[in-house]
Amino acid sequence: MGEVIKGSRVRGQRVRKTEIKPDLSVNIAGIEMKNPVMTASGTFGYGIEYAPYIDLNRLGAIVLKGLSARPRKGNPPPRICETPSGMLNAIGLENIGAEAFIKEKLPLLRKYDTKIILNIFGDSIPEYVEVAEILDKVDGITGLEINISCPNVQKGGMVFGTDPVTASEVLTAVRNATSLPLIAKLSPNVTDITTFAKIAEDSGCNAVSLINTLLGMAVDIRTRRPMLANITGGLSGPAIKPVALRMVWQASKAVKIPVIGIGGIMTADDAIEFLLVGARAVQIGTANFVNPTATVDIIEGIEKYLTKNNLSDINQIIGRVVI
Amino acid sequence: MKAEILSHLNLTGPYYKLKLYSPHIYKNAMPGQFAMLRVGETSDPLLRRPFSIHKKNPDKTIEILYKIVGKGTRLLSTLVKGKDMDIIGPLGNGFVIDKKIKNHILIAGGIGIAPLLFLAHELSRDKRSRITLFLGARHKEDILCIQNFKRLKARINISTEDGSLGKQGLISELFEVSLADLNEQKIAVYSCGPNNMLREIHRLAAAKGLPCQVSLEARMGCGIGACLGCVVEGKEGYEKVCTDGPVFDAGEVEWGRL
Repeated sequence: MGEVIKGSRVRGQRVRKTEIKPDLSVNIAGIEMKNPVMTASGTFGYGIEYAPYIDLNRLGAIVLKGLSARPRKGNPPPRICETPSGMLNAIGLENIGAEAFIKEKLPLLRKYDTKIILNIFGDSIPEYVEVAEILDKVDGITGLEINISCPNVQKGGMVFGTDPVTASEVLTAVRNATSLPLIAKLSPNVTDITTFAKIAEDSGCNAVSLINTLLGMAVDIRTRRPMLANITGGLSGPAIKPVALRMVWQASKAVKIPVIGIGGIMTADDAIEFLLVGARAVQIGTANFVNPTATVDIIEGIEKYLTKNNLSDINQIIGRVVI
Repeated sequence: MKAEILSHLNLTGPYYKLKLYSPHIYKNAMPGQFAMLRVGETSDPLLRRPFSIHKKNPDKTIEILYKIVGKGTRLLSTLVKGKDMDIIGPLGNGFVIDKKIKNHILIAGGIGIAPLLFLAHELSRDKRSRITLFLGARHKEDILCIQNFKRLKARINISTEDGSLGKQGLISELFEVSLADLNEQKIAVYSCGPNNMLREIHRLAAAKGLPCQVSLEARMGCGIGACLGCVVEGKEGYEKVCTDGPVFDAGEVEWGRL
């Protein structure tokens, strides 16, 4: 980024105003991003859905909908319901499968000047390994985010992400299956988030992202039935932000690898809170549904905050919460 | 996108009509498409609400006809003239109009009338079009837009469950009776309403071999095909109501699972 001269230089004599455009670039897990704003898996489709609304080139990175080795149908509807300042979802990890993604979606994404990070999951360790191997060394893929925390599929993520032994096993297995930068996406449905952040670090992951959704439930009192066909679902949105912020703060202190903050970020102010408690990047999720331009709005808001505070580099706020 | 609220009327009971100035939606909207409205500025309610486009006017305005059914629509009803509405649209796929067909049957249940008026206007641009409306609801207060359809010279059939207006019973029953003495082949059926009604309309139309399109409703997260929250079961797997629909060929829907 560096210095941008605003106003015109008249015959080399006069510079009206010099404004320093702050440097927003960050390096996460060896991935050079132009700014710390990423999309959260499952809220940004396969990326292309948002192209009519924002310039995808502006994003630090795009994290796409979770992929498994084979296509997955997902849960029966109703799959979502709104709750106070949040929403529950039980999509069930519906996706087209890694092979179809490479063939049908990735070519459309390659033309954008942003980093493509694929979120992956499986029902068993061999399936995690399989999807990682399919995506390894594919042109246009910058890194993998491993979902060990999705609460929606009975045989899926939850088991791995909330048990220290299986969490370690699956992360190590994926580590050995690919040379791509690895981000472990952690579940908040645990007693101590630092235990799992350390497991990710010890398993060779290059970063952790947190939090995934909190397991929740809602009931329609007229019909007395759960609002979701799956009965329970993952809570996201502003309602979970304080919990997410606390966990990001704890995790940042516990590990040396970068922490990516996720959870109810709707505005630049929210994102800055996460950066202050130690997140080196943030992911924007549910906000994309409410406001398709949320990511770009947040990038601009962070830039304004830095400029207003006479800061030239995003790193000057990361972890600088005053305790 | 911002669109100024030019008027916001309480029609009767829980029914409201919102008129917005939106040259973009006016220019691009097709009957059956919808828009996502932000009903408040705070985080509760959080998500946008989908509404079908009810009408377009030459002054580049669009109209949304809605019924208060919960927190979101109640809040929407409090927004006043002069304010800007945060709106995304037009979204989704509208009704497909087969130009070879001149005889159109529109069947609505309650507030399901909303997208069908826009459709009727579009159909009536072809002067040879004959439009027949079947409109059913619980009570006469739930019967809307009759004057609009009269102006389009539609043949109108009404039923109410309590018999307070038109024939007593379900609109699908009235439709079934009319099918008995129908011998014309080139007819298209378009329907919007509760799922149970649509299932019955599909069954009756399919038995006669009539093409039938239905506009479905679903809880939506994003409205643009990203969250996969609004799916319905189709013959070839889950279909997104927002971007695969909201208008579907009735034969594509797995009615037993709806």
